[in-house]
Formats: sequence, C-alpha cells, structure tokens
Amino acid sequence: MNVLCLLSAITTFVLFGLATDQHHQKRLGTRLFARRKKILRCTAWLGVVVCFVLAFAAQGDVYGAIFWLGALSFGAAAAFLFLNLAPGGADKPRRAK
Amino acid sequence: MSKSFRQSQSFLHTWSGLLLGWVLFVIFVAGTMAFWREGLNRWMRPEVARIEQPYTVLAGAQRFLQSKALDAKGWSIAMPNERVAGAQVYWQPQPKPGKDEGRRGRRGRRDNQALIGADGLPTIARETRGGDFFYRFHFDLHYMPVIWARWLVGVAALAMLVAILSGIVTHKKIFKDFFTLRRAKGQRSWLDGHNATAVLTLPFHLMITYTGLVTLMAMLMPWAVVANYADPDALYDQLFPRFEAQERTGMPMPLTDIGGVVRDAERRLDGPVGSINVAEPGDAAATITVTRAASTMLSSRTPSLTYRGTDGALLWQSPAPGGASVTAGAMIGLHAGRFADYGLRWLYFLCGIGGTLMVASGLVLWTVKRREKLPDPERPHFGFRLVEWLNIAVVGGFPLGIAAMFWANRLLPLALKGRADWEILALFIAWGLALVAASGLRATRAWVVLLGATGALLATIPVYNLWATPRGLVATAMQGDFVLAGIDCALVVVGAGFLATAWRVASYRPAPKRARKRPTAAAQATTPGLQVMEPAE
Amino acid sequence: MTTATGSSHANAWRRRGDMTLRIVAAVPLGYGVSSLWAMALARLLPGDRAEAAVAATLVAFALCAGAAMWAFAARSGWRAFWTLALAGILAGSLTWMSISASGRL
Repeated sequence: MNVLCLLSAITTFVLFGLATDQHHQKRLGTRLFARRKKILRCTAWLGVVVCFVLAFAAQGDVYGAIFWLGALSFGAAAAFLFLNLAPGGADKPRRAK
Repeated sequence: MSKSFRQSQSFLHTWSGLLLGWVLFVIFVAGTMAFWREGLNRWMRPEVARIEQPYTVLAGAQRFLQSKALDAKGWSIAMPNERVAGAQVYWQPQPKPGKDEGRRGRRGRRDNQALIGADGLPTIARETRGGDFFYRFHFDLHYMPVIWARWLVGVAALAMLVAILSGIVTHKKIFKDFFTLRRAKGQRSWLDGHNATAVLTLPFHLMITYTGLVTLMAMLMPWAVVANYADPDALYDQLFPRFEAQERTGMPMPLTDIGGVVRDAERRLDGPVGSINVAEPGDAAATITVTRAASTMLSSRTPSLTYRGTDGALLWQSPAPGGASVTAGAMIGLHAGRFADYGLRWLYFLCGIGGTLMVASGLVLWTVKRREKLPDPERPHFGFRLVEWLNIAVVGGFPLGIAAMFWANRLLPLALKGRADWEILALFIAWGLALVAASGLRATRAWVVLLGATGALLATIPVYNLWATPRGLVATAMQGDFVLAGIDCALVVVGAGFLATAWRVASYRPAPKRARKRPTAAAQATTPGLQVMEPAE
Repeated sequence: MTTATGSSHANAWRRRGDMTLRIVAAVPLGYGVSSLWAMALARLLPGDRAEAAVAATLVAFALCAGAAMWAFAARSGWRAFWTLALAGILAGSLTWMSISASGRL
C-alpha cells in the first residue's frame, strides 16, 4: 500500500509536468493546447486525492497526513528528475496536430 | 505581490541564508544521518548480534545492575528491541553528602553506563559513540559548552525559518517553474537546482525547521513561562508529572522482576515500553517507572506508570496532557521521527538529503552569481574569497570528516583507550586537513580533491566490511538484516554521487562568453526554456 | 527604500543607517517584541496557565520570523523600527497590567 501511494504520487507529478509547455514539447513532441493542459491538470489533481486516500489506507489516521506529504514530495522529486534528466524526447516541435 | 516587497525579501533571504548557512549545513548533514541513529549504532559495532529476545536482555540488564550498582540512587534502562544495538543502561550513584545534584541529577557519564547485548551480558564491542554521535552533534555540536552550541543552533534554525519564508515570497513563479531545470547555464542552473531541492520537499523543510525550534523552546523562548510562573518548577511539575520521589529507608529488600512489571505495563499502556527508571533500587522504598516507547505514538511525551519496586504493585499513572502539551509533544515527535516505520523513515531521510543539498546549493549559488559580476575574476574581494573558502572547507570538509570517522571506526585498534573520542578526533583531523586544502589549493582543485576523496572513502567501506567484518553486505542481506545492508548500499550510492560530482567539477569548461541577444517577446513565447532572470538585489 | 537627492556620500550613509535600523529591528528588537507578545499571550489566553504558556511559546517563533520579514519589507528602516517598538510597548503594557492584577503562580 505504501508503494501504491508512492506510485500514485509519481504519476500525479509526471502529469503536472507534462502539463507544462516545456516538458510536453520535449516528451510528447507536440505543442500543448489549452484543452489538453486542462485534462492533464485535472487528472493530476485527481491523483493528489488518490494519493491522499492511499496514504491514509497505508499508515492510518494519525500518520496518514504525514505520509501523504512525504509521498507527494517523493513523487514531485521523482517526476522532476525523470522529466529533466531521462534521455530521449523530441526537442524540436514537430508539425502541430 | 509588489515588486519591492519581493525584492526586500530577496535581500533578507540571501543574508539570513548565508550568514549561518555553514552551521545549517552541518546540522542538516548530522540530523539527516541521525534518522538512522539506531542502525548506525549497530553498524558501528559489527561485533554485536541482533537482538531477538528483548526480555532476555532486560533480565540480563537487571542482573547486571543488581551486581554493579545495587545501592545506586537510580537506574535507567532503555528497553531493548530488534532495532537497537543493545539495552543502554545508566546508573546514578548516591549523591555525596553536601553536594546538591539538582533536579535531574547527572546522568550519562561515561563510567556509569553499559550496553547489554542480545545474550543478556554487557557487550564486548569496540568502544564508539555510534549513531548517537550524529544525533547529539546536530544540536550540541562538539568541543564547546552545550548551552553555547544550542544557542548557535537555535539562532541558525530561526535564520533558516526566515530564509524559507522569505524564499517562498521571493520565488516569483513557484508553480510555473516547478519542473524547470536549465542545464549547463551557470548561475541559472544553480538557481534551478536550489529551487528544486527547496520547493519539491518544502513541507518537510518548513516542518523540520519549526519543530526544531520547538525542541529548543525552553531555552530560546522561556518568557511566556516567566510571565505566568514565578517558580518554573511549578510548571515542570505540571507539564512533566512524576511520582513523588521517595526517601531511601535503608531497609534492603530485593527488587521484583522488572520483566514482569514491563509486561503488565505494556498491557495497561496498550503499547511497547521505551524506558524503565528504577529509583532507590534494592531498598524498601524502591519504585519502577515505566514509560511507553516514543516510537509508538506521534507525541514525544509518552505516558508512564510507576510501580512499587518490591512487589510490582501499581502506584501511579501519568495524567492525560492538555491540548498545548500534546501539540508541543507532537511537534517534537514530528521532528525526531521516532514514530516512523521504515517506509516513512526513508522519506524523512530523502527529504533531509534534499534539505542538505538545498543549503549547499544556496551557498554555492551565492559565489556563482557574484563570480560572473566580479570586476577582476583573478582577484575577488575579501567577502567573496571568505565565502568561497568557507564553502569548500565546510561543504567539502565535513562529509570528508564523516568518511574519515567511519574508517577510524573500522581501523582503530579495539583495545585503544578512549577509542570513541579518537574516532571523533579523526573526523575533526580530516576536517582540519580539508581546511588546509581549501586555503592552499585553487578553488576548483580543492573541490575536486575533497569531493573525490570523500567519495572514494565512503564507497570503499562496504568492501572493507565484506572482507574484514562478519557484517558484510552478503552476510547481512542473507540474514535479512536490511538496515545494515541498507547502510552499506547507501554508502556506495552516496560515495558514487560524490565521485560523480568531483568528476563534473573537474571536467567543467565554462562556455565562452557570447554577446547575449535580448530575448524578444515572440522568442519567449515559442522557446519557453529561455526564462527572464529573477531580479537581482 | 527612498533615494534622496544630494551628495552620494550622504546617500551612502543614509543607506547604511537605514540598513542598520532594519537589522536592529529584525534581530534584537524582533526577538524582544516576539518575547513580549509571547508573555502577553501567555497572560491573556484562557484556560490552564501551563497550557497557555506552552501555546504562547509555540506561536512565538512565527512572530520572530514575521518581525524579521517586516523589518525588511517596511518602507523605511525607521518605520520598521518604530512600528515594532510600538507593538512591543503594547504587549509589554498588557503583560504588566495582567501581572499587576493577578500575579504569577
């Protein structure tokens, strides 16, 4: 359950990251339009809620909030490192869809 | 948020961070390591076996104390469990007539303590401070009176709080730039790194700093208590209630089995016991006070029970604390993280590393930013040289000292007198050498030498462990002793990190300065990587 | 921070004076004012006296940080100084009146 919570946090922040122009361009190769940005952001916020629920399921009432904040930080750091340091991803914008 | 407010806080952020940044760095390093205090206690004593039967150890501790210090004023036993190196026992001798011991007496002196091992006997292990050294160091520092150290640490913590809050205000696009990392762009890359380590683990930094202040609040902010109490003892009796101390009757009577008392207490307290204190052992007036383990609840102020020493009858139960006390206890508990299981403890540890990198990158950022503005890069002004020297000496030197201390722990002769103090001296000798390197070598070379040496020293310890101790990585992994195995793995990873950093520094070739075009509005829209600089102070 | 016309020498001293006032406002004065407010809160918060003292102490560090931030955010060093001093005098008066009225434990 701890691991599930961490995975949900990582997914959440990867989604947040992909909702920025720079990383969307780099990883998915296409320009980020407003609609897709909104979808990515909403899904990411949903992930925050899922992470919250999983954190309390994993650690109980008292420590749930602490684990949630820790998991979010972990997810944020993991997503940050992956998006910025993992190789690959197109750097030049291809023809917009 | 107005521009001048942001600018004023930017100035405050730089200086509140810089002036005590080096103290904060060593606090963060030692404090982060202290999350693995018990693991390091075991790792630095490879001779001790893992504890399987805590009650056997407890019985052994009672036997030991009865033979050694039956007429003591008090005994203190840390309840053993499978995570610790052994049951730490202290005894406080009877005070000499005419000497006032004070309310809490004097505990923890070197000749009045012992470590009882898995077999119930005092351990025969190398003398070392173990992980406890890092825990103590991060608020008591070393080689100075404890009160001075705690004042310095307390002021540094307050400066840290100011730096965090002003940093949040100053960081203009905290959400927009959340994932930004510009690479190979000099000061902008350092800024992004500093921002990332700060923002991504921001809840932790705010928490650990504020709760750190709370742990020292009795010293730093006693005035609220002074306003309400002419006699502070009245306050302590209410906040930290205890059973009225009994006079020694002089009628010797055997002490009941402490193990039985502990079992009863665990039932009543609904949780494992953390510590046992026996007052006036071996006497008719003996009492046994049992306190619940701090690892089992968030608040550090755990409930306790007092039993009669001769027959184990319950005499007193601690009252439920009030709201503010529970809050203070929870804050101290959050800081120490004793409640954390392994998963949460790893998160604490990683956040601590993030905090350490935040402080270090901030210190380096200060020099990187100003180096680009120096009128004559070959002859910087005194302030710049001082900061750069301190950066190398502290950020490069303190980790080197720790690596040296670990090697001293492995290599010093087991029978050496005062061995524990020699290990610590090894830390400071290595740190002193780093100071010399920082003074004598060119900055870049000094960094490479210190970071590289640290990396090499750390990464090779697990190899030595494999070869020369019974607790090498293979043995511990096969025994399922994941804390010790984890420490060895962490040493390799951290050592590799230092070596990689040294390599980056050594191979860094600053890009030749090109005439920078002013970014046009159109260019900014299509190339979001080209950011406008934060306002300089 | 205002810049006045006049010789740059005078400006430099004005800036140093401004900065000094801010630093004094932030650290010794800020700590003093926070301590006085901690005392006032300990006196004025309802309920058990020990709990009120602990609660006031817990809050005091936020006040210290806030005072330091205000010391640099205020329009001038002098403004930072007198506003904080006034806040301190207010807290001190409240504390003194309360202690005179009901004493300490």
